[in-house]
Amino acid sequence: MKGDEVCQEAQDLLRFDSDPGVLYHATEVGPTGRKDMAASLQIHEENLHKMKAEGEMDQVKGLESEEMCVGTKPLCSTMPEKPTNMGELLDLFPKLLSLHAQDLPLSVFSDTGDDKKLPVCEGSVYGSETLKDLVWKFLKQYYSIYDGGDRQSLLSAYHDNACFSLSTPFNPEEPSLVSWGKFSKDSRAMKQLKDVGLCVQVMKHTKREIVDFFRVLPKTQHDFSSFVVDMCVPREKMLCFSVGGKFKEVGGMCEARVCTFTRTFVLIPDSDSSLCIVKDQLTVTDVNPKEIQSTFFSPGPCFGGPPSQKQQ
Amino acid sequence: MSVDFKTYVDQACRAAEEFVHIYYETMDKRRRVLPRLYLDTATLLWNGNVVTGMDGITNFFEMLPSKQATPSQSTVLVVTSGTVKFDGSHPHYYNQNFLLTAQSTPNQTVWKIASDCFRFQDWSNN
Repeated sequence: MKGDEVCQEAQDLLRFDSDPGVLYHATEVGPTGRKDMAASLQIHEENLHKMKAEGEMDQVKGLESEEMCVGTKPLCSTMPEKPTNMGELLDLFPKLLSLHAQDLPLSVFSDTGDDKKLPVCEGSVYGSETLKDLVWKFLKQYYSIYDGGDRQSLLSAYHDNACFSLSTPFNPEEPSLVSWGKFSKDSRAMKQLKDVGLCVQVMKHTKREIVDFFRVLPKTQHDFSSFVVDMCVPREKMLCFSVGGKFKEVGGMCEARVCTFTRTFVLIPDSDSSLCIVKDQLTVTDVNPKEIQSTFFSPGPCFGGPPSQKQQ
Repeated sequence: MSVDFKTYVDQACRAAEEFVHIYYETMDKRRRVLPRLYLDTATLLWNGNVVTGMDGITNFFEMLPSKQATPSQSTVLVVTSGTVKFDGSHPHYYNQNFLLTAQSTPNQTVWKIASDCFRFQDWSNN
């Protein structure tokens, strides 16, 4: 299209404010057919100011284009001076990725440049003292059975229709670090599953299936002092929290291997109002024994209260 | 009307795959619109920092350095893990979990984040 025709068409689009359907249809392009992708939009800079003055910016916002050519002449072939209204442009077109056929650097999307720092990492988040007590009572009871030997007793901890899944990320470049890799066929890490249909097969469904699976997993000794808890949904009637930390595999032929884990539990009240597990997701990664051995909690019962709040 | 378990699992898997793709694409390339994925009442936990409400979440993502990452009401639990590197910081292993909830209108169902919990997994650095 020639420049003047493009700009006229852009202005014509803006006039269909009484029929949002037409505007919607005009933006429904793109190889994926997604309605939020627009073809490149070319607007005279002077029209941009005009549209702003006449209160037509809300309509332009809906177009959500990714490419744009704005300048004093239509179809600029060279990059003009950096527009002073870059912030305005990004507010109007938050999906903008390139300007004048050149990709915008990622730093453009940051409001400030070099002075951004990561927030300081804090310790566990419980939501309240009551929830903290509740979570720790659960964790102590759960792991005393899980580590204690007879995992059959965990049947009473799970809802009849509970689901459990295990993810064991496998790094083929370091096979020696993966002892849990032997469970990779049971892993539900979806990026590694070739067939999404397997998602149903490798998920453990019902408390019987879950506990039967626990009995083939390695025996463990969890380090309570390493636990960090994040209360995702702080409600006493539906607990959803993650706990992460370290454990040792014990009882095997080889030297005890230390692993890191993150486990997410969702608990709801059972028929007798006590909480039971309805969702349980465990991610286990191996850790290089040389890195972690010296930092592991000293041998002995790993029971006790929550660790003191410290930065991780 | 009861729906069998397999159907629920299929639905959850599809939602999870689509969500993960959209979330990390938006986080990496279009962070300014990331707050739109969250409920107004969503809670975000980021390495122990608690952020609530749309204003809080918007401000939080604006001040975070840029990063690159290599992954009636229904709810879906999505758990992701991988490595992430923020500008000015060394790479970290991370775990993240989301609770997604479906908001249905007559024309479509929109999934929104009800809770987002992110944590570095740097146990060996204690």
